[in-house]
Order: sequence, then structure tokens, then C-alpha cells
Amino acid sequence: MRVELQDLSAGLHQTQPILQHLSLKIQQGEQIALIGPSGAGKTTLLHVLGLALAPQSGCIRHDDRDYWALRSVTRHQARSRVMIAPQTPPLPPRQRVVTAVHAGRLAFMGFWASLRAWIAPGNLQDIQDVLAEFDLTDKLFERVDRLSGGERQRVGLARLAWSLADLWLVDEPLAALDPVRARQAMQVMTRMAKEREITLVASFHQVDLALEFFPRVIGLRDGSVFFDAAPQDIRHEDIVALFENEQG
Amino acid sequence: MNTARSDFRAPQYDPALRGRVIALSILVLAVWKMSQLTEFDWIGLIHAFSDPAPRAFLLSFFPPAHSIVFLKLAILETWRTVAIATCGLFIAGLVGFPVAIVLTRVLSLSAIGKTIEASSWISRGMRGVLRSSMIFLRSVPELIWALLLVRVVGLGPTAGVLAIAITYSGMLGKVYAEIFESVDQAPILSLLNQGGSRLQSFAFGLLPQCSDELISYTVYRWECAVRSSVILGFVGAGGLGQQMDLSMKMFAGNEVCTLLLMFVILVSFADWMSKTLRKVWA
Amino acid sequence: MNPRIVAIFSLLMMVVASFASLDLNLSAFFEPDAMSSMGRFVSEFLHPDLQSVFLYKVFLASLETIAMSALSTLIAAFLGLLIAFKARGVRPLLNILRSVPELVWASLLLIAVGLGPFAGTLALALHTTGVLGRLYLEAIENQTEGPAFALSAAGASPAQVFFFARLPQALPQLVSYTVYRWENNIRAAAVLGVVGEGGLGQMLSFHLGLFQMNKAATVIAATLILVTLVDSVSDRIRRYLG
Repeated sequence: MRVELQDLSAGLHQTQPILQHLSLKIQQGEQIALIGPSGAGKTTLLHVLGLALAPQSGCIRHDDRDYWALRSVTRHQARSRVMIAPQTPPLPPRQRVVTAVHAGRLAFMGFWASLRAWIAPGNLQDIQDVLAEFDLTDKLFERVDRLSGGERQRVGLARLAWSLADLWLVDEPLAALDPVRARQAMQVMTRMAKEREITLVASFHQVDLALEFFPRVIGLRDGSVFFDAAPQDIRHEDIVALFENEQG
Repeated sequence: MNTARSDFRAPQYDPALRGRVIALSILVLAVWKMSQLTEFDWIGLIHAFSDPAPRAFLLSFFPPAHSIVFLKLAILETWRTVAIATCGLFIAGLVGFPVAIVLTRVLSLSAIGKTIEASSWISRGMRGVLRSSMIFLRSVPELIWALLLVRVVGLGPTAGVLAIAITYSGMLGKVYAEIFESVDQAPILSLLNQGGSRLQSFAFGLLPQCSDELISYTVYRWECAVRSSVILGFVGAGGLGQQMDLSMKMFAGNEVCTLLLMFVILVSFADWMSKTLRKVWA
Repeated sequence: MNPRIVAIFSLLMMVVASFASLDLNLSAFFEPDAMSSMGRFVSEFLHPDLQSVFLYKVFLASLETIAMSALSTLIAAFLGLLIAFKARGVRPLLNILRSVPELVWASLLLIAVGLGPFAGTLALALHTTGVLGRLYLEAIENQTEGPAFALSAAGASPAQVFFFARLPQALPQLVSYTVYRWENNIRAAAVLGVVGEGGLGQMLSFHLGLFQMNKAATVIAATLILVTLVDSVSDRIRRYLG
């Protein structure tokens, strides 16, 4: 999926949009890392890319279509092709992993199919394989609230991998993972995205992993693009300047 | 192409499935059996939506009866319902309040200087009896008391007042006692140790600390009593409930409608009164 | 003037007015006739009828009462879920359903469907739907938005969001409320029988009407046992849910 932003401003509050006059072009199959200090607007940008937040000015086009100008039904259908994986895994505590992962394809299941999946989940082997990628092999029927924080985050990523979206928007996917697992997860995600030609945009607080795994890194600061380049073209001073005066 | 196929063969079925199927079957079986026991007419219910007779019944409610004669009657009965509740609760308070004082261990004279548990066995025994009586009084639903009393003192508000008085004295007694026990004991003990009487220590040490809670709970119970009073009317204890019962038996839909509206107004009024009183008191 | 004094004064006035406007004959309760009847009742009460034939009837009536309470709670839970899902503009209906006491519903339905436990079950179901519907609505609204938002942003329909996010999150709370209402409905079912809706209540009213105090005592005892049983079962379930 291609995405293009033109002079876009967006935010939760009418008066002070976090994102200011942003322009961006994302090609099909690109993998982009988003870095920047807290409050820079990384999460907001991901939500805008995911059709979950309407722009206050400017426009955003997915595959050359401005979904905010179309009917809400059309827009909702388009949402099935983009998927946001939030920072806190959005999993109901008492739900089992198998059902939580199944939920990744809800948009493609009719009402009765989803009801059946809710009562008696199928596709067990396939879901098992996805979980295996994230090293969650024996957690298929485990309850989400019985998992550790890191495991829960990986279930969130597994749900993303199970979905049929071709734009993945991942918000701080490594926050709860230790360094070893973080690298593993990163390898799996980027490999999958490349194999399936999925456009991947992920935000990070860990700059080193971002620079290592992604061919394009966007630095966001105060709602504007601070730099947008390949890792080899980014100087150390740029990074320092990006995070200058960051609080906390 | 998946390079990592799991070598853990997933079970062919979901382990929770068996449990769910069993639970579902039990549920279906239970609903079927219970429908039999309660003579639940599912088919009739579905038909009722298309049947003209129920619709006619509903339509008979409108317009609500609004003749001056009937409105006067409705308002009078509404007031009588409130009166029954007020009298009943008042008597319940007369009984419950002293009982609660007696039940309050901190006021026990025989316990001064020793731990509370060391009060004399007489006073402990008496407390036990009182507590059980309060529990008994409030466990039997007031409707049953009303049924009994109607046969003893006849139809009319007396039975209603007594039924409410009996049940609610149990409730008030128990909760008042709990409120008294939850209060800071130091001021009370100091008054007792100075030689003050139990009543004095109560009035000057205990009561000021919890008057808010007492009022709040009592007013809440008054609201409940008003509702109870309507229900008791159905077994002959007077008031709005009795009139509703009469109108229903006469199939006077429009009268029932007016009375229901009066009931809603009454409940809202009671709610308002309780809020205002609580605010004024604080 | 101190508002408290005003309040106390008005309350006292209200109490006086109440007593004055009803022609109570409380003394009738203490008259020798009444006292001796009460005495007779009490003594008969203390010798409940325990013959096996009668006990069997009481047992059947208890089953009917349990069935009334459980079935009505189940129906209300189902309807309550539907209503909680629909969520918009539904509060006025719920308020009507829950403000009208079960007994009033029951009497209305008696006219419509006739005597027997069907009317009682229906009445309880209607009233409980109002109560549970509102409780369900609030429980679901109080959940965190995260899971629901994520699914919705991925293109799931509102029904799917309900089943895969909102409902699972709120389920323990919903079950707790439902079990609590079942506790309440057992009492209500016993009482509704009094107006002819079957179960223990109808038996009680019948025997009290014939002044058969010993039989009435058995029925009341059975009611108390039933209520205690349901209370403890429901307590255990709710504690298990944590």
C-alpha cells in the first residue's frame, strides 16, 4: 500500500494539533522507522496513517484515494487493509491467545464466522505457526492475563502478522521486550513484511535498533519532520539535536 | 514461505471446546426444563406481538383517566401510601433506635475498665438474643407479615403500617448498631469514665459523630418503605397499591395508567426529598 | 434559623400528619381477640406440618420458584446483553422497566396471561431486564477503550468489536451482576406467588387464607432455606470470579 500525506495537521485537540503541516510519501513495501522524543507525535502519526484519526487540515491518500472524503462505510472497509498494533497490547485480560490472534482477521469474517471463531476457534495449526515465529509455541490456549508483559507484546505482534493488512503500523513494539527478544522480534517483523510486500511503519524509542533494521528513518520532533533519510546518511549530531531537551 | 514451521503439533481441537459444549447443553436443557416448570408459553409470547388482543389491552391504557373525581382519589391514595410508609418507619425507628443503643458494646457499663469482650455474660446473652431477633424480623419479607396481619387486624392501612414497622425495625436496628459501632470510641469512653451515664455518653459522645450517616440511611429506608407500601397495598394494606389492584381487577386500563404515573411521580418525589434532606443536614 | 431544626420540625409535622390522616387502629393489634389469635397462630407456627405428602408438595413448589427465578434471570441476561450492545437511546426504556416494581408488572401480566407462574416469570424477566440492562451498560462503558479501539481501527464491525473486545473485558463483572440478581429474584419469585403466580408464594397465600398456620410455617421455612441456599451459592460464584 502506498500512502501520501500533504500538508497535514492532526491531533486530538482542535486548537493545538500535534502534527503540523506534515508532508510525506511512502511507497509500497517500504519499511520505515519513526523516532523522536516523547510528545513528538509518533503515535498520532501512526493513527493518522491507520485511518483512525481524521486530519484537521491537509489530506492523506492511501493508494491515491482520500478516504476521509468518501463515505464512512467505504472508509471502514479500507480499515481492514491497515492495522495498528498499539504500544499497550489491546488484549482483553481473560481472553485466550488463540482468540486474540484470530481477532486480527475479523474484518474478513462475516458475523456467523466470527461467532463460530469466538466459540470454537479453528485454523489452530496456522495460528500455532504464527505464534511459533514469535517464540510463543506453547501459549496457544493460555489466557492473556497469565502471560508476562513481553509475551503479551509478542501476542500483539502475532495478531498483526495474522491479519491480512498490507500496511502495518507498529507503536513502540519493543517496549516490554529484553534486548535479545527485541532483536528476534525485529528480524521476524521485517522479514515477514518483506516476504509479503507489506508496507511497515514502526515507531521506536530505541534508536540503535531502528538504525540497524530499517532502510529509512524519519525523525519527528514537535510534530514536524526533523530528518528523513537512510541510516548511513544520518549523523550522530542529528540524533542528538532530535532528542535535545527531551524531558523524561 | 514460512521458514519456521512449528514442530509442536497443535492439538486437533480446542481443549475448552468440550467444556463449552457441555455448558451449552446444560443451559439448553435447563431452559427447557424450567420452561416446563413455569408453564412458560414461548409460542404464545411470540404470537402476542401480532395478536390484536394484547395491543387492545395496551391501548386501553390511553388516555390515562383524568376525571377530577378520580384524580382526587389518586392523590389521596398516594398521600396515604406515603403516610403508611412514614408511620411504619417511625415506629420502626422507635423500636430500632433503642435496640441499637443496647446492642452497642461500647456503652456497656459492665465492660468499663475491662476489654469489650469481658462484659458480663448477661449483657452478652441479651445482645445475642436482640441481634437474632433483629435478623429474624428483617428476613421475613414484609409481604408475608402483611398477609398475616391482614387476617388479624383486618384490611386497611393498619396492617401495612405494622408490617413495615416490624420488618424495618429489624433493618434499622441492625444498621444503626453497625453505625454506632463504627464510630471513634475515645470520646464515649472518656465520658463514661468521668462517670457520665450511658445515655449522656451516647448523646454527647456518640450521636454527634454519626448523625449524618443515621439520617442518610433512615431517609434511604424511607424511600424503600414508600415502595414497600405500594406493594403491600396489593394484599389489602391500603394506599396506591390497593387502588391499583382494584383498578386492574376491573380492567380499567386508563385508571391503572394514571396510578402508575402517580407512582412514578411519587418515587421521583421521594428521591428528591431524600437528596434535599441529606444536603440540608450536612 | 438553623436548617437542621427546620428539617426536624418539618419531619415531625409530616409524621404527625401521617398518623392523623390514616385511621389506624393499632390498638386492635393489642386487643384480647387479636392477641389470642396471634397467640394461636404463633403456637401453630411452632409446629410446622412435616408430613411427607405435604413436604413433597412444598418441594415441588420450591422447584417452581427456583425455575421462575432462574429462567427470568437468564432471559433478562440475554435481553440485557442485546440492549447493552444497542446502547443508544435505550435508557428511558430501561428506567421504566426497573422503576415499576415486580409485583405491579406481575399484576398487569396476570390480566394478560392469566394465573400461574408464567405471568410471574415474565414479570420478573421484564423488571430484571431493566436492572441488568442498565448495569451491563455501565459495566461495558467503564471498560478501557484500548482493545475495542484496536479492533475497530482494523475494520471490525460493531458486533465483532462487541464479541471480541467489549464483552470479554466486562464478562466477570456481568456474571457477578447476573448472579446477584438471581439472589434477589428468588425472594421476589417467592413473594410474587402471593398474587397467584405459583411456587411457594401461592402456597403460602393459600394456607394463610385458610388459617392453616402449621402448613404456612413449613412453607415459610422452605422459603427461608431456599433463599439462604441461593445466597450461599451465589456468594461462592462471585467470590470465585474474584
